Amino acid sequence: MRLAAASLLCFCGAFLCARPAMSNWRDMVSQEARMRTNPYAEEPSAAQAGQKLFARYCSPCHRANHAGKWRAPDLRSPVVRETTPGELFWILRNGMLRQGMPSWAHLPEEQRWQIITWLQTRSQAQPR
Amino acid sequence: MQSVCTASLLLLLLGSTLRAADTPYLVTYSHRMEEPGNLEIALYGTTASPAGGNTFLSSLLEIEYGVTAWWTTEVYLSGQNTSGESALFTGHRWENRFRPLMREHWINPVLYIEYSDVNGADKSLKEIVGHDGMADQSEPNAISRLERKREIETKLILSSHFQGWNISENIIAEKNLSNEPWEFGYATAVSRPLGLAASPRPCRLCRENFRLGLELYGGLGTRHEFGLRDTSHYLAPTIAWQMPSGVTLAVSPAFGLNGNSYPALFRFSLAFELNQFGRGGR
Repeated sequence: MRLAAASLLCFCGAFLCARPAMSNWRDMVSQEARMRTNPYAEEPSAAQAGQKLFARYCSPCHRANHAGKWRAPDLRSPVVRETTPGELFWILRNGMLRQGMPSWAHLPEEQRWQIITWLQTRSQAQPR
Repeated sequence: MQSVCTASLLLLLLGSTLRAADTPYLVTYSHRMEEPGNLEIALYGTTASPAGGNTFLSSLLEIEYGVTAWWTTEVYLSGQNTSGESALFTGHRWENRFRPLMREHWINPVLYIEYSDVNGADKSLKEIVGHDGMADQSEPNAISRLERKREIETKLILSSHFQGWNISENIIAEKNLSNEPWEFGYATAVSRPLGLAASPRPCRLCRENFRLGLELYGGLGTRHEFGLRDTSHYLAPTIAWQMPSGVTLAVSPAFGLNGNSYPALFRFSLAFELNQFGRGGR
């Protein structure tokens, strides 16, 4: 019994500690998820709400200026600018737990879309 | 010393790096993990006035840290004050939660393991297992504190988010290390924010800052006497308010559903988070 429990613990530990090479996360997004559209796209009030939510939930890691810190990437990068709303929604829902990005599925979908509206409004305003 | 502690607490509460937890549950766990690098400090209180017994207030100080996005660790220090008897420190707990699946699914499991070293006067009622009931806690502190309980507790946490709702179920198995049988229990809960979309302006009483929930929890007997006989059960509505200062206040009256339960318990929690604790700089 004890041996079985120890083996199970070792297995779980090895599974959880395994860190597969980080491939492009966008490859993991299904076509259906990628094509989802933002119901709040280009709504100024949604962008404002998204800015408030970004400050509360995202800026501690990604910083208020979106530059990122620690392991959180720079959200001003061209890769993020090219990301579709559906892909952003996918990553907010699932996170990338092994890489340190938490899942934000506990936020209602509406709030996640508001954050995406803010990210896209901000990225459109940036000089390319 | 007291003034230093008070000043430190005020600084923490006023600091700009605060953000509170946003779970309304006081007993049940959902699959939400602490964000990596965040430190949550919370005070949980439970009070009851049992018929024929003394009113008590039990306090738990929780320090929770997100080690990674899939591993959260917590330490609890517990104490209680019973009217007409004494106030005492009752022990500590160390718990860890692991999320084995790296993506969001319809049902999301989390594995929970806790070691606790508390004395018999502990009245935190953090979870109800086995044949726990009001009668167990009727002994005076002077006697009950002499009993020492070292326990391992495991939980399987199952949780889902659906259209703003959270539905969580916890299956609990607890073992006193002094050769007593496994005890079982359950906790289940449902909750939803009052508003799904955030309002564009900063506000104190916006609907999205409130979450309403309902918890149901109780014991399921032991390995030798599994079932509902001689167990206690509670139904507890809960409400959480995320304040503009970043602090979350949650309150929950719990109502006993049978004769073994306290007729009424009142639980509350006050929680805040320090974002990216110890990860400043760059």
